[in-house]
Amino acid sequence: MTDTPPPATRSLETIPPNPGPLVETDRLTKHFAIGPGQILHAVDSVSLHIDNDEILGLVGESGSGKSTFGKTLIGLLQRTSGTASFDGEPLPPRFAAADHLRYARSMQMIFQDPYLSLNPRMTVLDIVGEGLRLAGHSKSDAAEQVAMWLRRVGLSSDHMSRYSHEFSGGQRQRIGIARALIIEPRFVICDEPISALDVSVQAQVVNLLDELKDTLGLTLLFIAHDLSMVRYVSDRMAVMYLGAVVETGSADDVFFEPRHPYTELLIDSNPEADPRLERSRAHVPIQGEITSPINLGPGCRFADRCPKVIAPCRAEPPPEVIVSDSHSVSCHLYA
Amino acid sequence: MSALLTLENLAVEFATYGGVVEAVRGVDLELNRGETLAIVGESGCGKSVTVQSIMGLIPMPPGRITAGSARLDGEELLGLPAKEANRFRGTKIGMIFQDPMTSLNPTMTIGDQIAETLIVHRNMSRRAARAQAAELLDSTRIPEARRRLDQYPFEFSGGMLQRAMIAQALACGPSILIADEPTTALDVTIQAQILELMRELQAEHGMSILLITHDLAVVARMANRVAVMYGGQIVETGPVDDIFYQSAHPYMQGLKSAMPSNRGGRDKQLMPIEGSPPDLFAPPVGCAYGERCPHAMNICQRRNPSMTDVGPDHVARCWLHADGAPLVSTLHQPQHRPGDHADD
Repeated sequence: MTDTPPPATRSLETIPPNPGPLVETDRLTKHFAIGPGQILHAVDSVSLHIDNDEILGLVGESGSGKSTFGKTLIGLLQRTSGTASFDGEPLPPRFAAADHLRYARSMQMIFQDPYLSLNPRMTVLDIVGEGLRLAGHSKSDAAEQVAMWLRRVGLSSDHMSRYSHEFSGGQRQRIGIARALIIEPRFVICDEPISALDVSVQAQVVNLLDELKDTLGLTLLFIAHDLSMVRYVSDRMAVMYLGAVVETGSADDVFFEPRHPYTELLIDSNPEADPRLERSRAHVPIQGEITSPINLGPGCRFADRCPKVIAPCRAEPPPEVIVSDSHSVSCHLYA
Repeated sequence: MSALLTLENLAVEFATYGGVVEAVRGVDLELNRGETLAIVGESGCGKSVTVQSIMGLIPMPPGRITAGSARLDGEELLGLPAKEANRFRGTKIGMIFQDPMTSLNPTMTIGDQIAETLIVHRNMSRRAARAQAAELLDSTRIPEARRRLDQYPFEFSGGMLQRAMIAQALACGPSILIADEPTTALDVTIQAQILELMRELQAEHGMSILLITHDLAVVARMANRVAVMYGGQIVETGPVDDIFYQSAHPYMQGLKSAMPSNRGGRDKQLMPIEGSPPDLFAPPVGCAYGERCPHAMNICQRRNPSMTDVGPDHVARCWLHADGAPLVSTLHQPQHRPGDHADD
């Protein structure tokens, strides 16, 4: 009778997770040639990592390159230079059809516009079950799982035979979530998953993502421009401006103790649902608008709008300065 | 003090293929001189239709104003012949819209569009109107306003277009500026610029602002008073602080619990409002919010409550505040699901 129960450390014996980050990019760059001698720097040398079970929030104004970064990372766009890896394994610079099939099982994307991202000529069953069928599941098995996932995201299995136009924005976003998660990917990019939704529905979707993250062990890249919601949802936060990451850190550090002048202004501009707080704040909006990402010069991209600009800002790219273990900023002020 | 603009029992419906939608079902509203009143509510609650009927912008048919009145300085606006209604638009009330890109004429220069208002309403000469248009554009802090006059909308960014639209709306010195989701299409940094510009221009000209938005944070920054709309009706009206800190209607309380508060850490679980807004093809007999309300009682399904005083200048359309209603102790606190860490 040497049959002893398994030791309490059993969980350590299951497949050891890759010790490094689940997703990592090194100087990932996406340029678009838009005319003779004109290069649009959509994503410029972005190095980010996302650990297992982590939610990284990516914020920035429209045109800052957030969505392009996400799409380039999972191979929907071909990168110009730099590297990206998933689970320690480098991702191909150009995704062939077979690569898409292979990586779609571990990396998925939830798109911003629930009205445009669902094929109006496909039923919910076809939309949500497509990934399973491509992965070789039988029709009946796919239908069973689709029914289960529809219930899981708060819809009914009766909805399977309907078309997307029969649903409200919040319901469509749930269909998009079910479509992305039915494959049980390890990594999901959520591109503005809530910005098209009403406040009461936003909370439904955020709570759902949160719950699924816990039950499935998801790692998320959460792209959004709603700073309050990103802070709430994310473990860490990265701020992008004109294609470059200017600051990264824990969500609370970046939100409550921003270091980069751009992050400071972004957070100052973010109104909060608190009239007393709003009255006590100095309202000095950031001047000017985001400049053109075409043929950028060598200096800091924010120099033209920065209230704290100093001489080196226009001449050299800003160095990345470590503020604390988890907080770093790319700015000449801290060099 | 008499109000500048008074809406009484306004009702608007639209005939569609699916039947008649009762978009606005009896709205009472007062806008005082020099104040900013925010109408806040989610998509489909009737907030835009309410202000469009003030401006005579409801397409009829399919739209129909079935009841009510809207008086500006005592003068009735609803049902005016088109010619007289036009006198109000532009001169006494200016309006800006959510999407400046589609609200301005793409085939006319910015300068001509602003000048047109002055030529039509003020009988100005083209030359004088253009000179004034340059001044107006300049007052909205557009750099190099004079050069910009000859540009077309596509040459402007979203923030600049919204400034141009404000210049156009203020051309004839209106006493009311209606802003329908003025910053929803803009980035938060540009939103801050436009909101600040509206506050500055209000301080300069003393006009009242009627701000339509779904964003409670924008309300908190801008409003003196707030009207909360739900299912085609106003469910709560009061001073901004009372609405945010002592909200009396369960809908407003629900909205607040559904939003993250910006205090460090994850201080509370977001509490979504379950269910969806009422179907205005067949509006409920009782309270519009009854089906989603955590405090709903029998009477809520049977009879629509009327407005009840809950504080100075603060009213709510809710049976919980009627005489003899049960005391709901959780009403002023965020509610937590069992198992949540209720540590606030």
